[in-house]
Amino acid sequence: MISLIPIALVVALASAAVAVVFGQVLSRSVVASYAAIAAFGLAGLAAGGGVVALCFVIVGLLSFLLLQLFGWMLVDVDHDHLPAPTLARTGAQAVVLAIFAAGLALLGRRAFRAGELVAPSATGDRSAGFDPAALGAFLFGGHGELAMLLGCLLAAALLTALSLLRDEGGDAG
Amino acid sequence: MTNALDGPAWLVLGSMALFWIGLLGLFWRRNLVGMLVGLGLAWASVAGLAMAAGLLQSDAEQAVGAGVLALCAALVGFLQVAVGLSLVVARVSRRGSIDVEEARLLEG
Repeated sequence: MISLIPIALVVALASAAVAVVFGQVLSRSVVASYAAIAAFGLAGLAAGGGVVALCFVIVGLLSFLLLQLFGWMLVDVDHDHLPAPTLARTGAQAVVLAIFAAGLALLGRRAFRAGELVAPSATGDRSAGFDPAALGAFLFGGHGELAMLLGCLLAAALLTALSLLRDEGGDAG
Repeated sequence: MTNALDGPAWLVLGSMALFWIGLLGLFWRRNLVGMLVGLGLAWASVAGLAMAAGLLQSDAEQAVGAGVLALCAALVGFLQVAVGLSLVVARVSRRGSIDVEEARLLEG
């Protein structure tokens, strides 16, 4: 039986992705962010977070409420009012999205190799403890070179995107 | 799906993924308010990670400390959004645009 926590986390991550990638309309983006915070808080509550998880949800929702209220003052909530993206910018964004998606896929793939994260206890019960050293090994051990390569690729992609976003000789507006 | 991860471990992984998505939003969006949404999600993941760290502690005192850290992280994120919004409001009142491309340089 699949527990509530991974389901809530999947909902939270999907909502966050919707808020970021498909959130050209401010209202849609903020509502998806509300859903992400609520689902993450639900996962925290299900994991035993208690009052901390509740406070997390309240403060998180207040942050996005602030964004929504001021966003209504600043932009037309039905339109982004930005010029159409150029081919170069779309290409740079596609590269960035591909690298971020690869990072998420790697994280998910490693997550399902669960034995690497859980330290076996003396009685052999693998769910009894969570080894912090295993988390470090999970992130950097064994595949440290891959993590470094991904970091370099990410930095290169971001620099490329930023350089493409600059206009040659444009005003300093 | 068989998985031996417990709740806090799931939260750690979820926080990492949420931070990744928030960072993507920061670099993906060209709208300054949209960038703040990404930044808010990234900060929420930091608070979530601190919450998960508290759940991983077996010592009650350390668990309370991690809970306080999570609350502080959430509050700092809230204040960061507030300060960012004030900058965006000042920017819009001065330039009338929320396009990040028109805010390339810091001006004194």
